[in-house]
Amino acid sequence: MDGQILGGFAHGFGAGMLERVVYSADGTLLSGTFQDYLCPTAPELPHLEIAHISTPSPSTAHGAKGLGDGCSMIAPAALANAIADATGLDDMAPPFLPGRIWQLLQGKDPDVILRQPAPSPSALDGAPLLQGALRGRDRIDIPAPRQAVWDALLHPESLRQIIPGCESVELAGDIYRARVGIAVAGIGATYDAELRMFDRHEPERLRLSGKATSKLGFGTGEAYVTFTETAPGHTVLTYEYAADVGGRLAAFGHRMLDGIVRMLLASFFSRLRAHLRGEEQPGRLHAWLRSPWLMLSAMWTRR
Amino acid sequence: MKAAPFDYLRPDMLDETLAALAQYGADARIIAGGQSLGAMLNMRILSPKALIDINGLDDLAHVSVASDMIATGAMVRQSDAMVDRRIRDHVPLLARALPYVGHYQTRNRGTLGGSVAHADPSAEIPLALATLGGEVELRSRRGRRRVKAVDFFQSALVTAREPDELLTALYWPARKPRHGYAFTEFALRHGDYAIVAVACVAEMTADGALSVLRFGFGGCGERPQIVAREGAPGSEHLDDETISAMARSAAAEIECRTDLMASADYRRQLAGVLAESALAAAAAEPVAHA
Repeated sequence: MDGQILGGFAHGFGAGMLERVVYSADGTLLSGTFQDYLCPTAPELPHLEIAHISTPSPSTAHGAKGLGDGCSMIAPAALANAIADATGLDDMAPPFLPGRIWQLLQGKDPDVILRQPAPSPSALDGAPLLQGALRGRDRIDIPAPRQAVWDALLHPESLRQIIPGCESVELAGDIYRARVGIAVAGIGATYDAELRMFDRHEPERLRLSGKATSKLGFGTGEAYVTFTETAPGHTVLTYEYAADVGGRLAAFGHRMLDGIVRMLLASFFSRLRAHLRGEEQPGRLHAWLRSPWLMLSAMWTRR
Repeated sequence: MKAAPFDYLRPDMLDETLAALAQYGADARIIAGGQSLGAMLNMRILSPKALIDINGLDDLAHVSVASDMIATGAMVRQSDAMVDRRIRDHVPLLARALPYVGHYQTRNRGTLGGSVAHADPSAEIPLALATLGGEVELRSRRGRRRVKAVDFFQSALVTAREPDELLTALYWPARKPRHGYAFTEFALRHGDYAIVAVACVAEMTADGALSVLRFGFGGCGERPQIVAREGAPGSEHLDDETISAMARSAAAEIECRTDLMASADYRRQLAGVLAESALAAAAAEPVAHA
């Protein structure tokens, strides 16, 4: 009977302290492996002292009653009471992960991690609202005339040369269709991307919105780009993007770095500069862009 | 799930391995202990054309000691490194990090080189190597080169290794006089990915002042992050308050990410707390040995 009580307690401890099913806004299960859905193992469980209060049932043959389940139900309540006693918190929901309790103690949202940020106005002057959990912006100096930068970025053939791993780019009306083989850290896939241009004011600014899909998942995103000629032959490009990722990319990408996006963008702009200088592009992929999915996972990973 | 089909190669010689790598390039993955790669193959996050098994390369399973560097071959198992006297004596930071690496069972297969080549942002062995200022040896048919660990780790799972290169050895700077070393981390369960891991190297002067301080933070950003303070960073007397202030100022400098397990704010707070205990332990070591 002690074993049954211990087992019931372990279940209750898991529910109270560790286990959590997490979905993204688009319904992707994010805690899909035992690396993310944490079950208690022997080292996590505290020592348990079991005492029996025996009150035989008057209405069963041998006075028998249920036994093990009770412990799985009272454990989360006991843990909550202990935390309330220690911290003064009086409102909390399991699991009582240390990070969630810490957020509560700071007067912050314990599940900030799971919230979808609301669309926010872009910092760029006159820019539209951008939607998506993964965001970034930067400012790039390019030693080339504004029109040349604009042309390089909008012409399908030059885009094909600039985008790391790009196999093809077609332009139909305002829509680009591209196939890009991305391999970051050996994790690679071929992405079919469709990007639509709008708010296009040549050669000053444009807005892009698009999606990409591969066997590893999908991403959606939008970006706002401006071009300013600060001196003759010298252009400052600013961009801002917001993106989301779904499918397996989201499920496995959350430990992987938002930083990959920055690396990919850095590669893209270094290739753009080289292109504008009339240089040959480095091989199929930039040296450090070998592990493919991270590129897009990066572009669309949410955490 | 099970892994997608792949060619399996198990060369016995380094030359053969490098030839296979030159042939397959980015379409191949190298398998050593397979404790990270196996799961990624089974989940089909990775589906390489070829798997090159380097378990037959006995030459990569050696530890050698030079005057100021300890070299560990890529195939040295984590469990063997844990009980290796040379590592315990000359690379105490690694010896102290190893008990946090995975579990008893995974350490029996997992290798030092595999962990570094995989470059998980929370991994302990890359953090220890980067904090000590160690180096990574890479070989290909084109030759051999050594890359500083801080340059090797470029992002999560992304390293300076070229597709035709094999990580063959790690170079660990040997323990120096009057230096203290400490490693600590916090994970939700023992053996899980660290939410934050902290490595600390502290050099103490003969009169007990702190002269060099190096923190390495793992699990916070995309790769090990080093915060160094050179040249008499400490006051004469390293009291608890000074230690705490130094730890928190280091934690304030690093990048912290938000993921399923923890928010960026919580990570930074935890990094400060762990850095404080790591510095206290590292600073006490030279005194204890004096």
